[in-house]
Amino acid sequence: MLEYALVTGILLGVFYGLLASGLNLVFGMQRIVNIAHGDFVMLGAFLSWEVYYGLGVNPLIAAPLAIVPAIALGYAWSRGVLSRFNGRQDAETLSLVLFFGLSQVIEAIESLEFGTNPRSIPGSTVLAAPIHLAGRTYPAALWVVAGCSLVVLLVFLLWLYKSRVGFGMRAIMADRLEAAVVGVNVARISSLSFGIGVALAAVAGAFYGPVLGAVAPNQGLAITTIAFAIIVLGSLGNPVGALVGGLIFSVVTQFTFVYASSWANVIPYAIVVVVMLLRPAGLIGRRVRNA
Amino acid sequence: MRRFGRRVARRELGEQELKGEVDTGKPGLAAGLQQPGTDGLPDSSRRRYRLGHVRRWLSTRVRTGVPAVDAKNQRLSWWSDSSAILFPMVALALLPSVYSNYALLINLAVFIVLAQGINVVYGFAGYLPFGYVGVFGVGAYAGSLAILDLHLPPEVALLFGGVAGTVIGTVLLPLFRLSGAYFAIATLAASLVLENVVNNPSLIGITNGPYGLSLATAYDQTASYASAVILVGVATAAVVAVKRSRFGLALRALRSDPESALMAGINVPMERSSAWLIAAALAGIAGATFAWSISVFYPSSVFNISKSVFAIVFAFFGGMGTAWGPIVGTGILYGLYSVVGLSAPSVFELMYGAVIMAVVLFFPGGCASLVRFFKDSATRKATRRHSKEVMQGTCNAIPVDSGSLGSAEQVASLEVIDDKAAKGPVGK
Repeated sequence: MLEYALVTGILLGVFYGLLASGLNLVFGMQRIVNIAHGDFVMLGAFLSWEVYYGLGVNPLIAAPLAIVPAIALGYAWSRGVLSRFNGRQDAETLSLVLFFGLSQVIEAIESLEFGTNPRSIPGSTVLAAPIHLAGRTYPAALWVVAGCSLVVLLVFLLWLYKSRVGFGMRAIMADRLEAAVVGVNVARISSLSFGIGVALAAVAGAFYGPVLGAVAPNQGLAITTIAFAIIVLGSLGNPVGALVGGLIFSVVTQFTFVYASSWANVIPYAIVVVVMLLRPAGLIGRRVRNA
Repeated sequence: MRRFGRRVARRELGEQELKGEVDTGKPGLAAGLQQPGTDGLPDSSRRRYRLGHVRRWLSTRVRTGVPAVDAKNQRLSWWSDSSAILFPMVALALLPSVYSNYALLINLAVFIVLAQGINVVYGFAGYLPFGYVGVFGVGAYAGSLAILDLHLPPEVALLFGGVAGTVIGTVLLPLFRLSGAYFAIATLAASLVLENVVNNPSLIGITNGPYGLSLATAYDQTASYASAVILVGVATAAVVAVKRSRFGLALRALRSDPESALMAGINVPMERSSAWLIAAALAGIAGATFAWSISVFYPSSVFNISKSVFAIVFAFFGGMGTAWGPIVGTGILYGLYSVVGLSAPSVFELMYGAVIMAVVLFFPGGCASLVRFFKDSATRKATRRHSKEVMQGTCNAIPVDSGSLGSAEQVASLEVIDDKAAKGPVGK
């Protein structure tokens, strides 16, 4: 039981890391909390459902196709709408409310388009055969999705640390003003990062169904809260933090499911409150926020 | 448009006054803070002006969407404030004779109270509690358990709910070490923790877990509705009291800029905690009232996050920082909800999502800012006419633009406030 919980926790943790990294990137770049993150995830999940049952395309193949439109969408939104907040007092809270409105709109569109009932995407859509390991049987989808998530995350991190644009992004994360002074195009790169955040959410959405089962329009806010718990745990705005936070979160949750199942739902929320109060910089340091 | 005149005013007042160049008959801000030859210690003669400085400085801060303090507002508000307390009470008292759906009316009253609570915490103090509903839910449970287990009469149980709300509010006070989005999300998480604790099957002996509570024995439609109506009056009166008091002024100051407020002698942690506890008490009583009038409820209904979200949207739509805003916002949007939302919830959700976005993007002051815009445009017209007369009177004098005239007027009005206000330091 113990090692089963541990292995499942680690595998799910990689996926959770992917789920949270889009939110983390947007936070690191623009210092805003994208409440609609979970709804982008749900949107990705629903579209992958449609694509799978309509065209018979495997979610793992559909996921990369979503990247370009998602980046375009996020870029346009950030350029057209978010930039209105530049220099406005109270921008942080107002943007929170704005994103809340966006999250409602997305949720409503999903409900109108796909209905409010949960839709299940069985893990067998990815790979049917169960995997046996050390006397235990794991769903194959878990392994496949964890592997794919890890690949996506590694590509993203590699790009962030090696490419020219990624370099600019990290400069902006470190200090927006100084980055602008040395010639980084802050407006364009921030908007691009928002697009990438949306794309990561959409990819995580395509993986969501096969790992966690059903998707429903009203899960958006809960997913955002979980993702937020993860990045708070990792350390807000630190790109690697999302993965670390995801692993810790997921393993702890799995153990709670095993030993005190009725309290498992409290874990993510309690983590947010406790970590924010006791160790606002997150578990792996690097203080990025001033609160 | 609204911004323009005042922005000019702010620029001129702000900078010149700081240098002590505008002759307001009183020492300028800079003079008040660093008079040559003094040792920098606060003495009573200088402290006298501090409240005036705060007001003057606030009146120039208009882009927050929170109404500026000015003499005209102050004079008008006696009438509008008292009607804001009385009108909704009278309207709610008369409504049942026209419209008999008590559940909707109770919800309307409860939402007005919650929106006023949000108004105190966000509209004045600048902290947005997404998890405000947590306090509401605790109030609902505390009130109901007081009726069921302690056998208190329901009217007393309502107060018990208020006390429980205040207690849980006190427990959550450390969250005020955070600000902005962190505060919002942390309160959201806190309310989810509260829900999951109440909901937990392990606590079935106390809270009946996910199966909810039933108050069927204490159910009294008329009495519970009457207390909801009174509560609406109390909540609005609380907002009016905050708005008109030094306390409210201190809150608006700390909302605009906590450090400067601290410099002006405002006890920031104390004042914001008081604001939150007022809001928490209101939410606690509202929760107990809701529980009593609805009589059967579940954790998922009283801890439903959409309650605080609705309250925030209503308050935003009506106008934060005003007594009327949350009432108007709740009246319009909840009215709309009961027409459209019940039959087509998704369409309503789409609509109100769009409304939130539009409000935040285009008029963060809500309906109240529209009213103010029209009032201001009347003032602007008058100013323009006046400036024309001045121009004609002084033939080929130096051209006077309306912007600077506006600011001169503002200087005059500010002095009026100053005389009324300069009585002592804010806070402790």
